[in-house]
Amino acid sequence: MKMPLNRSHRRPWAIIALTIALSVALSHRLTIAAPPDSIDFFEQRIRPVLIESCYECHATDTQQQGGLSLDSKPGWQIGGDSGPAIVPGDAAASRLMRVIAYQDDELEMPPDNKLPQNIIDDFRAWIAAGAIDPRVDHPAGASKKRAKDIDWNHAREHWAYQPLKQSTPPVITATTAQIADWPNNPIDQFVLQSLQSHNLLPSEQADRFALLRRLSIDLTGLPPDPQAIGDYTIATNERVAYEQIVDRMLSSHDFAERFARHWLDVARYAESVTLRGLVQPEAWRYRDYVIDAIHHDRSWKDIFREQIAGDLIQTESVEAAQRAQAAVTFLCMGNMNLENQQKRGLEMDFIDEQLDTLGRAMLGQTIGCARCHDHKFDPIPAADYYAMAGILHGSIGIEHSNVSRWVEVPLPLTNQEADHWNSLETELKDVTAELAKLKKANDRVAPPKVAIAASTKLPGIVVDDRSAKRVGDWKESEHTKPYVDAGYLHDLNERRGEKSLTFEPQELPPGQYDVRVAFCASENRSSKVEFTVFSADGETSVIVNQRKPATIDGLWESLGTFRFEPAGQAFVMLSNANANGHVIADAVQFLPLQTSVAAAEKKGQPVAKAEPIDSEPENAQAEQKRQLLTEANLVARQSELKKQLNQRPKAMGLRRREDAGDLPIHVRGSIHNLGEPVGRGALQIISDQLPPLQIASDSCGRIELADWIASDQNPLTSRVLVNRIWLWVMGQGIVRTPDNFGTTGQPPTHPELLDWLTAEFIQDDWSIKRLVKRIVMSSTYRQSSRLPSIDDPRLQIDPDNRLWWRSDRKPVSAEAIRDSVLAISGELDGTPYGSRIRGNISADYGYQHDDLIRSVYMPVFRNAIPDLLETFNYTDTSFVTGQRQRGIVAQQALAMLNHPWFAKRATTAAQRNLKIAVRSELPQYASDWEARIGYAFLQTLARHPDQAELEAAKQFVGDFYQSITNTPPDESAIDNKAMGQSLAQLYHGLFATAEFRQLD
Amino acid sequence: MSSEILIPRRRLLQTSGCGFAWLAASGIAASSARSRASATESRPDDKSQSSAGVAPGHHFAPRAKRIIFLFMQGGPSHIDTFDFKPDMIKHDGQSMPFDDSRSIAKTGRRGDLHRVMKSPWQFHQYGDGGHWVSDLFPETAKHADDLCMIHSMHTEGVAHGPATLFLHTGATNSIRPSMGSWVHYGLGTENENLPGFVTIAPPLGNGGPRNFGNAFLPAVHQGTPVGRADSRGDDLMLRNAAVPASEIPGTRRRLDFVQQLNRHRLDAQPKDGELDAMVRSYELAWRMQTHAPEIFDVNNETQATLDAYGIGNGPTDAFGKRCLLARRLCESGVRFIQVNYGDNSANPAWDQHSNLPKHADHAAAVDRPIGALLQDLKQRGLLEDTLVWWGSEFGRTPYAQANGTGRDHNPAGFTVWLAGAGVKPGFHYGATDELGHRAVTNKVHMHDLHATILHLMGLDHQRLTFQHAGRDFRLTDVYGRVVEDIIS
Repeated sequence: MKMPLNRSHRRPWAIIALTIALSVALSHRLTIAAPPDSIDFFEQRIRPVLIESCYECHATDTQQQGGLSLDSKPGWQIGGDSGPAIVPGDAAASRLMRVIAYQDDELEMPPDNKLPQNIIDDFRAWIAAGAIDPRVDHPAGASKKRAKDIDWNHAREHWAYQPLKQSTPPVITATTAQIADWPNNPIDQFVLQSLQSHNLLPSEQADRFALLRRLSIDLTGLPPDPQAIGDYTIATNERVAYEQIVDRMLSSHDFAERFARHWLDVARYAESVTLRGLVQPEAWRYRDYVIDAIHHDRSWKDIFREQIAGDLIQTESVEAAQRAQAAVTFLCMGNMNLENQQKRGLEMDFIDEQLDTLGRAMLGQTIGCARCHDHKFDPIPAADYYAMAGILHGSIGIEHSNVSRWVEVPLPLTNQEADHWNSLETELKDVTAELAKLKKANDRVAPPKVAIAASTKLPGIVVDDRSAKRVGDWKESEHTKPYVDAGYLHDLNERRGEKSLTFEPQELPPGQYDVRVAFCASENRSSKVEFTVFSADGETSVIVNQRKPATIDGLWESLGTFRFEPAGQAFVMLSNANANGHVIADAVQFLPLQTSVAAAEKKGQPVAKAEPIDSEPENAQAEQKRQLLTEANLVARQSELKKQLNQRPKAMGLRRREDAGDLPIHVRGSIHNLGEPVGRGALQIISDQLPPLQIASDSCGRIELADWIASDQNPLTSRVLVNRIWLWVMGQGIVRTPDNFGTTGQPPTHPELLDWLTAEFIQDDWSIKRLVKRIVMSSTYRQSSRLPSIDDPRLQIDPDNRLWWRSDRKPVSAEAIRDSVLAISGELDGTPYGSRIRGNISADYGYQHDDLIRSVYMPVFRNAIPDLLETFNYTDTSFVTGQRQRGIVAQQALAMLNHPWFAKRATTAAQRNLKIAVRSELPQYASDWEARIGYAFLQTLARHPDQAELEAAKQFVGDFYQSITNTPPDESAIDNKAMGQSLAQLYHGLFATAEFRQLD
Repeated sequence: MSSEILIPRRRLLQTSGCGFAWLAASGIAASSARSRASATESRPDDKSQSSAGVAPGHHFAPRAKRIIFLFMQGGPSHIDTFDFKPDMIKHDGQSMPFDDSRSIAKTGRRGDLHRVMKSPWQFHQYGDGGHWVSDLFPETAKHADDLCMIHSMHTEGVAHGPATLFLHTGATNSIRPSMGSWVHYGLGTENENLPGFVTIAPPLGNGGPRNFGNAFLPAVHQGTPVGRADSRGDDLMLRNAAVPASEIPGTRRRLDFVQQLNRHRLDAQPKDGELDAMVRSYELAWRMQTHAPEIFDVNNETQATLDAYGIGNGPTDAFGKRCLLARRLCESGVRFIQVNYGDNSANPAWDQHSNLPKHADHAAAVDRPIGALLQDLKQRGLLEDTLVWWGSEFGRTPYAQANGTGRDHNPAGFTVWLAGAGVKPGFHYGATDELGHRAVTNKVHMHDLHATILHLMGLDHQRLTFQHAGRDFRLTDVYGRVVEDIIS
């Protein structure tokens, strides 16, 4: 299969009717036969074809696709991105020749119709004769521009590549006392200064209700409870109370869960891949790693280092080693096309995905753009790409087979734990050896259990040769026993490659099966009979030697374990291609795997009631039975041990590649078009600010790259992260393109503030909590989000609020909506950590999610994102997402109004409400049921209803109540059940409001 | 557009990666507004304006207003359906060298010997144009003079997953928007009371939601799935829009209460465009909920129509309902409708590696509904501005796979057909080699087909771009050409 990036032939190509090319060919055939080394030959046979078939895409004044122009001699001499197109005198070495002869899988030209053979022959003759081309002085051809060189000095002037600037918070010249008091910390000084320079003023502080809800959702993803709202809103020293709440929230586990999810968006975290829905059962360790790291406020310098090279880092404890190992999962979660049959291409895609993710997530650079050519906008040459790709290439992240698979590595263990697993492993080795010994002994005897086995009495599903679909002539025979049912088939040892049999069960329940084939062995058989199993895992070919007796009961040979799915393919084919003797086909057995252990235990009994072989003496039978029982026990133990060992803790990770080293540039990203090797390294554009990346001789360079990225001196890493954290709190970044700090991204709105925050962040040893606290303590954060009147100058001058003259009204994230509802209904299952995948599933299709667990712990399945998250602008799990979309679609309103999940939560919330002694908590309400309404507002919107809202709610609840009881709600005789139902309506309504989805 | 709401809207357009999403949702975004938003958003600097990230509505006059894509999952064999190759009969059973796509991808090996297997079905010529169609598709064949066949298709991906993704998104990896999303992004919707891109009974596997996903395009352009691939067609309804009749009054009261609170909030903040859009989205939700059940209920049709589509009993029931729903959605102005015939397995539906005759079961399930759909569209005049596209992720090999009774995947040559708006009726274009293995004449790559279909919709595939991760993306990447020769 061709790689998308490798092709350059799918270019808009002239529509060249075959007839034109033919007529050109014919017309000059009729004229003269000029020798191929003459100008006449070129003029008559070559130039017309170039004009007709090539210029449209390969001329100086057209597109020069692939950098190639063919309208001058220098055009093909210099050639395109892949080098010279023609080697005069050597047609075989000329790329143009291979391409027009359609001999190159990557490139076939012209793309829609191959040139007629006689024209191709003309080109071959012309090139062989020296490629005489008189078109030397074509103006554009001579001055043809090669790839532009990067002007490094100019490029370094881009703000993001500059070292951090020492910035001190500006001194504010206050015009009023109000202004003088406004700054709460240096953030405000920077913000106020830029506001003042535009003659603007900040907004007043948000009211306490709005502020507390904002803080609570921003920091914990959950709403404040009525008690906390009450405490804060009546606190006499608001500033102290606010700071206490901030500290409490920062130390809560909810904070870690909320902020981990932000980073998981960036890390394109998922627990399955799209194609085949393959579940990655160990990915959750990475999610837990991030939550734990944030909860313990570990240095992000370490967190970054570990995500790149945690498996290579020396650690102080086993726990630290386990954490660091799990961190490397970051490099392994790409949504890869594991079915790609071209495995070398798949490996380069995998590295590309790693590099693209790492570049955007950590450096804010679109390095992936330099895979095929130098970056079009940023100073990232393809050489930089392959310098970094070379480092990543030093580790293996994918094991290849028909459908390749990610790598899992054992987690480091304590000595005690390791002893446990090692002893299991030793035992498994012993059992396996013992079994092999037994088998060998059995093989010597090789007594068939039965002479003729009846398929109806065999376990599993058996397809006999008589029901197989035959291609070619197959001979029925009963010559050699044992066999299943009425004899077997053989191919007469003739017409190899022309005969096949297909064994397809009528119906096969989905599941795992041991697939076995039956045959009777003999010396005249083929020693390499090819069986192919078609299953949910694709096609697997197994070669069977039919000269040696079958190992199971002298009749069966196992082809392996296979998975079959509903309506999927399930059959076995047998071919006589490449055979070297008679090919025998008797039966195919599909043994369901769940029962195979049980079956093995029962194996001492005869498989089926069939005629015993006469010659076998009684005592030999008894001996054999005893052996089989032992064997059965051993098989059972082996299976049990394997199952246990499978539980040994492991993580998605990387393995060392033995042939690590520098990679060549892949011209146009193609694995078939290699340029010069590039020394491993990192981005040149900032290399002068960092110690040179020196890779030890025995190192792939990953640990050095980790240190280079997670360095105080790296001007990108810390700035990019600080900007992300600002965005996670404020809703917009100081740089509004958080994943792109290149020249196509946006410049910072407050460059000095960004640099100051970054310097402080580094000073604080890359602590996320200190930075978050600094931000939420600022007056900038605490401003009201209210829009002023339309003629307010701030709206006129800065409608985008780039200067932060108010707080941005933010959408509540999908997770926070869901978790808030669960918190309000009292049903939130906040159990932290661990794998939450239910059942032993291999594919994610149709996965039924748990209704109540905190959203961050719901398995992130790429084919089964929960509706309720997806509908509310959930992240895209396939690429770095620095900022979620803010789309508003009707499906959101439909879900809010009609999804049964919301109705259920509302019912539970109402029941909970009814249990609260609400009058004592909210004495300001006139009646019990009014207070219940007020309580619902506090829970959902973190505020009291105003008079109009209270009236509306009373009407709504009262009407519903009356519709059930036929009486209006009366304080003295409330029907609790009816009130519960009515309040459920209220909760459902409040969940569905726009305000519930917005953060003021 | 009043100046009062202009400012906040402009702010909103510019501040988020998808500023205009809710405007489209509430039906108040002119395409020009969207293009401005995108341009402003994506390209702050001048030097990169050459391929500006602009979704400008129509780039030129459209030939088709909407598309119905009949997706035949798994790879129906072109040489047993619409690409008649008499030489296969001559060479039946002979071992011949083939450049097998699977071998080439795995090992680079060419010229493996395989035994040619002739088609078990007869071909006949139909219509004035004399299209050859096999006995698998007798009902479709009756419309031969409406079909525009492309016999020279080729594509990327030897396995289902990658090839299916490529068909839907123009890439074998998993991070590109689907074609329906691109079309919706370019053109928006004709009927704001319904989603503009609907996929009926989509399979879970082989890309699953990616095949109708919006990827980095704004969420409003995402395809809306309706029904499951493995159902009998009784679940064809918009998610969360079907409310039992007894609950409708209660739902209405709840909505009224919610809107009362929403408007109260909006009154205090009349210039909050985002809030304004939310309020509108509730109204739209109600209209969807009110209209959708009627539109989605195919039982509103006459018995004659139901019979024509084969709805009721038999193998045509499920696909018949899907096709009839497609016509109803088409009538209601849905822009991009995909009708899936597939299942949830990794080797779906038409994937006959063995037992090629099983193709007959699948043909029996789809042929009559397809014929009825074409007939119905024609009768109602809808075929004039609706493009019908029949196709799969690839075709099949002319030789028996591993000498058996089926055919392997073939991305190197296969047939799709188009019908209706803008394409030459009764026409065929391009050809595979004499055994139908590889496209050789007037080859049409999947990128070219995408470019051509966008063109028919009035969209220039080179200009329909969206900026993401520092560069402009398009459906056709840097490839694709419009196949002018098939355009009427």
